[in-house]
Amino acid sequence: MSDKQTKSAESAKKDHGVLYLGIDLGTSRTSVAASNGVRETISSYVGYPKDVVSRKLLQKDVLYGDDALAHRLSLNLFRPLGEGVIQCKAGDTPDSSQNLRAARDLLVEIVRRAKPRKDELVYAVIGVPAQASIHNKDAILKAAREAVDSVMLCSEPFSVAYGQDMLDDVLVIDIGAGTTDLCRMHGTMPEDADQITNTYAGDHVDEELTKRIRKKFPQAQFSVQMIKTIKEKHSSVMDRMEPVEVLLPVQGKPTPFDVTDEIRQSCRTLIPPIVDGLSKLIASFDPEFQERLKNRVLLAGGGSQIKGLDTAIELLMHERLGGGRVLRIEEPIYGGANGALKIAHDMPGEFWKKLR
Amino acid sequence: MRDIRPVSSERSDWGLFSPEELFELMRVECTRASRYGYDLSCLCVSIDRLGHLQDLYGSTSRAELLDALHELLKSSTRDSDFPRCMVDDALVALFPHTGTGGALTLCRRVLKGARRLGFESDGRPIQVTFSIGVATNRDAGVRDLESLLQQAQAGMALARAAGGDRFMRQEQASNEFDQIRRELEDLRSALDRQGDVVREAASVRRVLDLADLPGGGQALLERPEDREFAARMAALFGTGAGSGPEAEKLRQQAIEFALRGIHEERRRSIERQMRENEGEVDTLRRRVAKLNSSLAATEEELRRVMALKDVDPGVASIYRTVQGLSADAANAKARLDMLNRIFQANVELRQNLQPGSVPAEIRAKKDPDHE
Repeated sequence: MSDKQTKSAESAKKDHGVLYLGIDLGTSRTSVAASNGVRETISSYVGYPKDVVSRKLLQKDVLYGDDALAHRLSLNLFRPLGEGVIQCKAGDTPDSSQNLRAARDLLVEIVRRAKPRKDELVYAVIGVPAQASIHNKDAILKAAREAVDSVMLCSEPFSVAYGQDMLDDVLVIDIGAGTTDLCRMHGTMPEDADQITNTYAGDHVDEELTKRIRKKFPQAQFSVQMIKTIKEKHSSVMDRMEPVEVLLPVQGKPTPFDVTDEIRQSCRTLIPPIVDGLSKLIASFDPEFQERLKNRVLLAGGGSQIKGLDTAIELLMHERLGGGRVLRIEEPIYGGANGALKIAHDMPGEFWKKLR
Repeated sequence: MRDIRPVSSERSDWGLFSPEELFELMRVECTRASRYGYDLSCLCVSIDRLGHLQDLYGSTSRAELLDALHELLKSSTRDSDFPRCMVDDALVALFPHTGTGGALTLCRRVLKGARRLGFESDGRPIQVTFSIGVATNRDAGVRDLESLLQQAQAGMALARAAGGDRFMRQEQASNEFDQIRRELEDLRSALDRQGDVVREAASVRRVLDLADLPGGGQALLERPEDREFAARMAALFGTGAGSGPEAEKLRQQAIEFALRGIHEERRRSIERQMRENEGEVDTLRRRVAKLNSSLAATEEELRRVMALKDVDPGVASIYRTVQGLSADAANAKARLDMLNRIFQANVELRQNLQPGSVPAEIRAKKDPDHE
């Protein structure tokens, strides 16, 4: 090739930027951090107008996030992710295909919100739960294929640790809506034995809170979404917390209810399973480094926003394991996405090309 | 959207309405069409190379041409098919109760009329052509007057970019653009395939040129069947010819001669094939170059249309090329190892997901969700 041709080829190459995306595809929220500085998060809801009338009213074919929730009565509403993975089973059942379609649309939307330029290649790393099955990963890959040029999956807690530059002797607790992932990092890629996933997460707190409020105030009327909003606003495990008084309708009349204790007790249900998991991971680690591991516990995910959770875990660790120190990451919503973005950026170029 | 001004601002006898009134009339017509569900078309007509014609024949020619355009449109349509406005140097008109079919018929009529227009300057005839953009209220993305006008303007811009003297709908232009892109992709892959053949043939030729046949090129041109052929020849000579050194020499010469002939024929065949391939590659290169320039022009026009429609072009990434982990990064080796393992895990995942790679029952055992 002549010099001129080489130069033109190089200039053509430089005309096409590379947009890296780190995506945290969560049960409750889907977040993206992009190499153009854009960061976006939306609730993981996708809604399709129920009929022609609702389509005409909404003027849209698909609604996402809070917009979808606000118009849920006129929509077929999907929450395509459950327990951190796309809700689809093998075989082409109607529910599976609808969830897959919703997940695909959600990914396309979150990529669109990252504002990629049309002439840019889009390379994405998507965080998936530590113990997602091969079938779930397949579903996520299928959903992502339409939205990006090349995609890789990686374990969510690993991406959080990578984003924090804490790759050695760290225990990551990633509390999502569907699952809580615990992951032990010891300078190499975590293996199956280094990871524990349980379903004591945000959705579990919602269920607990619903049960407790229903039991204590049987006359109160509320929906899961209302419970979720209350939880997100007031969640705390502290002994001394501000009284939480919420207005719930009773026979159509908004009535105040004190749900302070219900919220505290519901949120506290997360702590024992987390410390159980931590105990297992610490006990099965090299005894020489167990002390160091105990003192480097990283709390991440939307659930880490529960007030006093880090201190409460420390207290139970002290009781059961003789000590421990929990650090809360600065950006719970974008922790996974930031880490995934960092992985995407650091990944060698030839790897991306091979997976295109 | 560009500044809209009425026809009356250009010439006072074209209408009695102020610009705002005309635009309001258009909006009312559009809303009415939407409410009663009838068809409404919008034509955006411009004179091709108007600026150039004005430079050549003076500013009065511009006014004359615009008058002619207006008169032509007026004579080609019903009296009720107004209001109309000037947007830059283009005439925009609404046509109530006119669907896509009717609008396209009107376009053909206007283009035909334009070709019949007779202009002269210093006794020399001037050929005038129009570019027309068409949009209807049934088109995807048309919600109100603004979007209708934008689509018509976009169509006109594309018609102008395609050489003028034609009408275009934005949808049609997008399809053509996709078609060009697909064709280009096909050609590129064909060129790649052909390039492989040529490279192979070129390497053969280099070897052939370097080799002094039949000595050096033997290795390349010899094939297993040649040895079989030589053995058969030897056997044939052995049965018929006598013995002795002369007979042996004669036998060797005959075999060599026959083999040389075969090799020469093969060389000619390879070179012929190579010439044919080179010709085809050259043709493909020319086609790719043409399509590339066409694609570049279309992309440029699409960028312009996007700017016109105020479409968000996105935010540019700070990276122009693929990055990768810096060698100076902390724990670079360990990190690279982790990234490598993530990559390997993804490669294995894809391999496992390929149909037939893992038996369903094994996968089902691995995967509790698999039913």
